[in-house]
Amino acid sequence: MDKSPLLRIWTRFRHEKLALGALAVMIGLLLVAILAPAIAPYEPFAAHPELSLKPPTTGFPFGTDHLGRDVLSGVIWGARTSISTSFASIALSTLIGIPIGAVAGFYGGWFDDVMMRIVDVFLVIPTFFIVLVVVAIFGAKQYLLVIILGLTMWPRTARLFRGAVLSVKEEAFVEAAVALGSSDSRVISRHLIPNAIFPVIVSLPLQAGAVILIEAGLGFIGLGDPTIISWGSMLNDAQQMVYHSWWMPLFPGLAITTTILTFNLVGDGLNEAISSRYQQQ
Amino acid sequence: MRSFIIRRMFQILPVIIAVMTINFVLIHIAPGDPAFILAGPEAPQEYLQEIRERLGLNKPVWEQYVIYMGRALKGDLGTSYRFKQPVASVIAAQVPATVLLTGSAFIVSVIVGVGLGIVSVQLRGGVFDRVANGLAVTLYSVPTFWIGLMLLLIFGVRLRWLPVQGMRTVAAGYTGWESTMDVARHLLLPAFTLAVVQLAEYMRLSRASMIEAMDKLYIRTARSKGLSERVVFYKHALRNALIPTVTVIGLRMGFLFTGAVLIETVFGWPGVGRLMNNAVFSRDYPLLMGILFVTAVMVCLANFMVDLSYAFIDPRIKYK
Repeated sequence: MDKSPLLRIWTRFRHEKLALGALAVMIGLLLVAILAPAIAPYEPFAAHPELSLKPPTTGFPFGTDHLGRDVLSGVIWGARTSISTSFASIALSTLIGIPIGAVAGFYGGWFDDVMMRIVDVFLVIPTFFIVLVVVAIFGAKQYLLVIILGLTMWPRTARLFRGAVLSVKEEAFVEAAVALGSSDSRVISRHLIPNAIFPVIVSLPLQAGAVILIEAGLGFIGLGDPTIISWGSMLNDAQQMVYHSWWMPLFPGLAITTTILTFNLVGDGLNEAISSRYQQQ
Repeated sequence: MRSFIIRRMFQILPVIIAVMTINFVLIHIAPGDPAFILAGPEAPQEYLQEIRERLGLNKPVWEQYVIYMGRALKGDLGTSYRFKQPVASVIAAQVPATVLLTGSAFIVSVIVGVGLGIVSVQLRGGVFDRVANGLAVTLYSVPTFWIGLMLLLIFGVRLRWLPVQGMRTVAAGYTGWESTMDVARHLLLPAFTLAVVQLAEYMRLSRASMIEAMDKLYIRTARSKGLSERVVFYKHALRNALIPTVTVIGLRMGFLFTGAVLIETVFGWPGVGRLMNNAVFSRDYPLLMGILFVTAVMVCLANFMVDLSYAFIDPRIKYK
């Protein structure tokens, strides 16, 4: 793919002030996630029973929990958990969804029919419930969560990509490529995927937000991976302590909201930038 | 209309089959003996034997699948080993509370959300529009259960205005009208929490589709006919704008149920969600799978009702 479409999208994206600000926050969150071990003031699991349930003070700006663990450090490490889970599962679902959507859209026929029925079914069953049942049976492990999220989220990507492929397929340059004798795999990989990918790109930040919400929900009902700190599991603790502490629920919740809001705003901005790209053509 | 309803009912079938297949596969790829998974860790030997025979666990896998699906289609979802009762009846006992919670949240969020969307279009570009829109974008990103937790903290724990747990004041022994009001007071916080997140979505959506509808040629036609702005807005634009709104409302049903599960956990609301939470921790797998099944069916039914509502909004749509 040549650089110019991406560059043009970026030029438009740059003018969306809100989205640009959100992108900056998103990069900040990524840095927090990557640098968590370096910037967290305490070990997130390190308990200091003598310091339990301290309201926010200078040493502990977000207070401490019932075991005396630093809430700020938990929030910082939680970013790492949420963001790595969401990126990994989105990567997996995209890797599954793109080829299925491409083949279904390009060839149509029985494969398309079967796949779209499967997609319909998945769109009706709430993802959260499937994930919950699987995690409850197989145990709360992060890699398992990533796999099951990838396996349940691909239908959205596949359907989105199939739709885009269907419309790109009709374009003259695809016809030309076919007429020139390009093989199917070449037409799909060189012409269809690069040109139909934009709706999927727009959906990525929104999907990432959705995954973070699911992951937090699981943690909240006590199905988070017990070996790592997550915002959801912090809120699970906070719920037990709701009569004793306002800072335990407040900060992890704000972290989740900020992250999802950021992702959604970046997604909206991308959508604006890309749809105006289409309008111009 | 009737044949449409019947045809639509048959479309629920693939979902039912899919969910049961997922359940079946899960039982069989889970580590350990399927009989143990279905009977629980403390089950006596005779019960294990009974389950093996009832589900044909000694037979080939495809035969087990046929037996399993046959039972499921007859409404037999197995036996909960915590409650020692059929899963279907354990869940059925909790469905009314969940329907009360989701139903009231749904009605409030659709009316208020679409209403706010319409008002913000009329005041487009003004302070109200911008504040409401900003609020909607933010609310759309907040986890429902966290809003619930914070509201519980503020109104239940700090201000003590509202009850925070359960559906009734157990010891009070209210009857008749008092009992209804008691449930209503308990309902207020969880239903509001659930409504407020959905509301944001519906507002954004109805605003966007209204703005789109207002740009259409039929609006220009209506105006050039000399119709009043009121009629143009409410009769010509609104009705057309409602179609995409209703579609998305249908697609959001799953989120409504997901939100309800977590909200029930926060507020101790005695519905399917809390039952699910209990099932997770007592490792009651038949019950857990039954709940997955029932929620999928409930989402299907809700979608179905949304489909029916199209006909009321758009007279062009006739179901045959």
